[in-house]
Order: sequence, then structure tokens, then C-alpha cells
Amino acid sequence: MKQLRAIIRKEFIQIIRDIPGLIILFLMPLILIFAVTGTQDNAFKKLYDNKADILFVNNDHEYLGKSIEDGLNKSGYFHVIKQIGSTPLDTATAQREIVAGNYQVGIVVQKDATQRAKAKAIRRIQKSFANDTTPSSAALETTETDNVSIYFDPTTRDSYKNAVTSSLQRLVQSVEIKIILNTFFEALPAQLNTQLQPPIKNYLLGQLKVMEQVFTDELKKRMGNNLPSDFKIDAQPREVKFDLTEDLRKGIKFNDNLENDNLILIAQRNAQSENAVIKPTLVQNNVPAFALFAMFFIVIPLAGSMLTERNEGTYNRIRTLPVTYFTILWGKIVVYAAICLLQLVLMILAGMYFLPLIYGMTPLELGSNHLALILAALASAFAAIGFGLLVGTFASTQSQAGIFGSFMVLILAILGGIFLPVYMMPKPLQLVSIISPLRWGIDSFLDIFVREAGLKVIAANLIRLSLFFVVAFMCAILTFVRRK
Amino acid sequence: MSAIITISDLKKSYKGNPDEILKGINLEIHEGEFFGLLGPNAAGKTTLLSIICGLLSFSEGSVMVKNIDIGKHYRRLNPIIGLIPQEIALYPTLTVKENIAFFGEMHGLSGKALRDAVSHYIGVVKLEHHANKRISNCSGGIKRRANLVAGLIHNPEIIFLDEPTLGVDAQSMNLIYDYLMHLNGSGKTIIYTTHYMKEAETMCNRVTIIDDGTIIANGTPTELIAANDACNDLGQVFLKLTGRELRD
Repeated sequence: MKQLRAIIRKEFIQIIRDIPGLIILFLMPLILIFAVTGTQDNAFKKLYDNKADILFVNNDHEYLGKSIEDGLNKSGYFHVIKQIGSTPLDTATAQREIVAGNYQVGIVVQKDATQRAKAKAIRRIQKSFANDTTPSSAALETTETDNVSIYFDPTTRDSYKNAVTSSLQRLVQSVEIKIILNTFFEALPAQLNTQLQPPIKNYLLGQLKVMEQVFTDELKKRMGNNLPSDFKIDAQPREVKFDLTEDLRKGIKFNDNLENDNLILIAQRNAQSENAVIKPTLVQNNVPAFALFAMFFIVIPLAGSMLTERNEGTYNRIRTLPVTYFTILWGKIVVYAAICLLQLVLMILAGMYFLPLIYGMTPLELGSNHLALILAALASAFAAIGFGLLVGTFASTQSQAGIFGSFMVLILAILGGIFLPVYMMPKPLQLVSIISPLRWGIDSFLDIFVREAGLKVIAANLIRLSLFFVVAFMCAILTFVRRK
Repeated sequence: MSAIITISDLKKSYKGNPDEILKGINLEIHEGEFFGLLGPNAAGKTTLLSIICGLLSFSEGSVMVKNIDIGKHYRRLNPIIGLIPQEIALYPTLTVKENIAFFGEMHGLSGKALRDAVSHYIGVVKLEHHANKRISNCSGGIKRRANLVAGLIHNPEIIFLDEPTLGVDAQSMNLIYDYLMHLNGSGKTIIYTTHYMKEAETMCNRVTIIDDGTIIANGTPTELIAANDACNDLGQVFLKLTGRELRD
């Protein structure tokens, strides 16, 4: 015991006197979490909170163009720019501005887009009612022209492109449906129209119920246990108002109520238990992720310490001492485990106080399962130390350990979902990610921090982390013995 | 004097390399001897020393140290031997005093006994003024002296020194010689490797010259000089027996 205490003291002194090492261990992770969280927060804000500038050229001036412009304005995500300075935008100017990198996105609604959409709707209705004697239905189709074009700056990220494109698609689809419906009813005689209204309405409501059931079943199938047992689709079928006679009287003008009335309301909810009070935020995700990332960087000082001993002669002297290598390694493990836990505490404090203070984010919440949190922290710390022991045992030089250790931590972090969630990775990488101890750690922390999970849920990952440490420790001991 | 170390037909080769580093060494070292183990580079001196200390395993033969079979129970040897390796085997970020104390604690010293031992050995090698300096900030001579006492703090019976005066100035060298002679005079057995023949001739009761894994000469310095015609000192004997060809 005296020997273990002496080794712990020696390791502690060595660490606190190694200023660059301390910077790597404590300051770098803090800088990293501030930089990454701040950047991610800003990027999300840009996408969802701040209005993004979007150039808009309406060459149509009819229903489609106006609907898209209204939709973009009402969405709250975009600041629609129709002129630069005092000059109204045209297609060429919009393209030029985007190429120059002054704007990222431009939408051009082509001339006569509404008329072409109506004509297409008529052809479709005709095609639907055409009998076999009708000449080839293909003949009814004419050459298609784009109604709406989106221009992107080539440097725009795909995620942003997708967000804009899907928003626009939603707008266009809703307008398209309205054009088809109105064209259909416009084509019917007024009397028939009145007779058809109630059955169509009932049919649509029936279909809605079926869709609701199918959607719920599909969701249950895909999400399995993650879907709360009391899940119910939040679909409130609205009163479908078809005032067709009025519509017909007004021509192609639409009932405003119908325009803004979605049939199915989709509410965004988190799949978590009813009593869960923690909301998944950037801070809840990033703090454990970067704390783990920092913990695994313990590989550099730990492997460095082992290699210094081995290459500078102290290793041989240690081997002539009446103390086991088991004790010597435990001396290191105790000190480095304390450092890992200190790193975690610092990162937690950053998440609870500094990140909210600097970026105005919601403070980190630790959840109520403190025992699970302590065990997850310990198991992760030991796994990180295990990785350090492995590198320190098998590397030959300091630079080898430093470069290999850092790159491996980075690779394991990427695989573990520290930078990008695992579900967003390609399937083969998702399979490989299972071997990353960082993933076992991050999954445990996210279970505790975001899903309010208890020991039972994280037990499998805790066992994996602990086994990793035990195997690494045994490798270090056996290699020491074999080196004789 | 009785044999404290007995080596019989000792052979050593490494896995994957059929060349033997040691080719059947037979040697006895007696209690209280100041024994010199000499040889050119790559002759097998450090390998032999490492095997006796229990740091390396061997392929064939036997090594007995104070009746302990090193092949089986090398860990029993730890409390009775002190190894002063060729490298500065100290922690660079710890001070001279902290290093010496750490190795003392590893040998089970604590409290007053530890403090007394640290003070004593720091005084012996005249490091009082440098005791609180970090090893990384010390000169070569200070490091060597600290390296020496870190291996002696537990007062071992048998002391292994692998070129302990390598790269030190004349003053530090002289201090180390004097102290080693004092230790030997107090009954310690010393096994000493060096490339300085004058040093071996002056200090050692007996020397063994080893080359290419084989003992090529064994005896007191006087006996070896007398046995080799036209040789006036141990250096000349060494060159005559091992040749003038460079060993790289």
C-alpha cells in the first residue's frame, strides 16, 4: 500500500509539472467544446432561427408565383429578396449574385408557370377519365418545362440545399393539389358538384383515418420500443370546406381557409417517457461527447509516461524493485482516472455554467440517475486508460504513440458518433462503429443525459467499457512479463 | 571467499535469431569482490548483467545468486541487489531528492528511515545544493551521482554498475570511485562494467574479459598483465586479446 501511494504521488507530481500535457488534458477540450458547440449552435440558428436571405424572381405573376412567395414569407425561415437596391431582380441578376457568392439561394418562378400547371392538371384529369378507345394517353402529354428553378451557390452545404428544396417542394405540392382539385371541380357541372360534395368529403375523411392507422403502424414497426406505448398521431381532421359553387363563381381563385388549412397536423415530439423532463439540446449532446473525446486523449500523457520509463532506463530499474508491475500500473491508473473524472467535471461545469453564460444556451441537466452517471464516468475513464495502456505497451517511441494515439482517438471518436450521429453514417460504418469504446461511452451518457435512463439500460455498455479496460490491462501485464 | 554468484554453461539467444549472444558462460563471483566485467561493444556484458539481475531470461544453463535460482525465483533477488544502469534511470520532472526518495519507498522505506536515508545518500554524493533541482535541469555529473544513489538507497548486498562513470567530469568520477571503494571496503559485492581499463585495473580485485559471448580471460589485473607478454597494463591486455578491429 505504501508503494502504491508512492507511485500515485510520483505520477501526480509528474503530471502537474508537465504544463503542455495539462494544457492538452484540460484546456484543449474546453476550447474544443466552446468552439464546436458555438459553431454548431450558430449553424443551426442560421438554418432554423435566423431568416436566411433568398433571392426570389417571380416571372409568373399568377397563382403559383404568388403562393410560393407567400409560403416563403409565412414559413418564417426566409427573408425574401425581390430587388437589390432599387433594381427589381431578374433571372440573370439573381444568377450573377449567386455565382458571385453574395447570396446562397435563388428561386425563379418561370413565366406562365401557373398556366402550364393548370394545363397539365387538365391533361391529367382527361387522362384519368380516358377510356381505352381514347388515343394513346401519351399523346395527351406535351413537352414539360420547369415551372420553378432553384439556384444554389456551389459552396452551399447539402444539408442546407435539402432543407430549402424540401420546403419549396412542400409549397409547390400544396399549390399543385389545389390546382388539380379546382380544375377537377371546375370541369364538373354545378349541379353535379353540389351532389358530389358530401360523398367526396366523407371519402376523404375515411381515407385520412386509414392513412393515420397505416402511418401509426409503420412508425411502430420502425421505431420499436423507442415509440411511447401511448403514442397517438396528432391528426385533427379539419372540416373540409369545398365551397365549389363559390370557387366556380370566382374562377380559379381559392378559398383562403382551404389554402391555409392542412389536413394533417404534424407535431414534433421526442420519443421519451412521459416523466422525462430533460430536453435534448446541443449542450446535452456535446458535453458528454467532448468529455469522452478529451478522456481518450489521456492516451498521450499515459503512453508517453510508459514509454519514457521504458526507453530511458527507469523501466529496467523498476523491474529490479521489490514491487509488482501490477502495483506500478495501478499507481498510474488511479492518477489518470482522477484526471479523466476531473476532465468530465470541468466539461459538465462548462455545460452547466459557461456555455449558457457565453452562448445563452439552455444549461446542461444531469438527469436524476446519479449512480448511473458515476458508473458511466468511471467505466469510460477506465476504458480511456485501457486504451492508453495498450498504446503505451505496444508503441516503440514517443512520436509513434503520440501520432498513432491521436489519430486512433480521432477515428474512434468519428466512429463513435462524437462529431456526427451514428444513424447518419453509411451502414457499413454504422456496423464498424460498434467496436468503438467511445460509442459505448457516448451511448451511456446520452442515455443518462437525454433519455433519463437508469443502470439497467446502460449496463451492457458499462460491461463493454469495463471489459475493454480489463483486456488492455491484462495485455500490458502479460507483455511486461514476456519482455524478459 | 564463498561464491555469491555462480553461472554455469549460460547461453542466450533471441527468438528468430539463431546467433547466440552468450555461448556457454561459466563464472563465479565471490562475496565482497570488486568484480570487473570487461569487453568491447556488443560482447555480451550488458546481456550477462541483465540476466544476473533477473531482467532477461536465458536459453540454457543456470544462474544462482546467493543460492537463489534466477531462472525460477528472480523476484526474490530484488531486495538484495542494486542496479545502476548505464542510462540515467530517473524521472526528469522529479527533483533529485524526490527521485531518491521514490526508489527508497519502492524498497519499503518510509518515515524517518526514508528521510535519513535520503539525506545520507544526498550527502555522500555531495548533492545537498542540488537536492531540490529537477533532474531535467541538472548537469551530467549531478545526474550520474543521483543515478548512483537511487540504486543504493536500500543498502543492497550486491551492486551492479553498468558504466556508471560514462560522460562525467574528473571530479564526479573521482567521487564515484571513492564511494564505490568505500562500499566495497564495507563488504559489498560489486559487479562493474566499464570501457575505462585504467579504472578497472585500479578498482577491481578480479576482472573477466568477455568477447563474442565467450569468456576469453579471467583473473586479477596483475595476473592478466603478467600472463600477456609485452603488456604493461590492462588496456594493452584488453587490446591484445580482443584485437584492434573496430566493433560497431
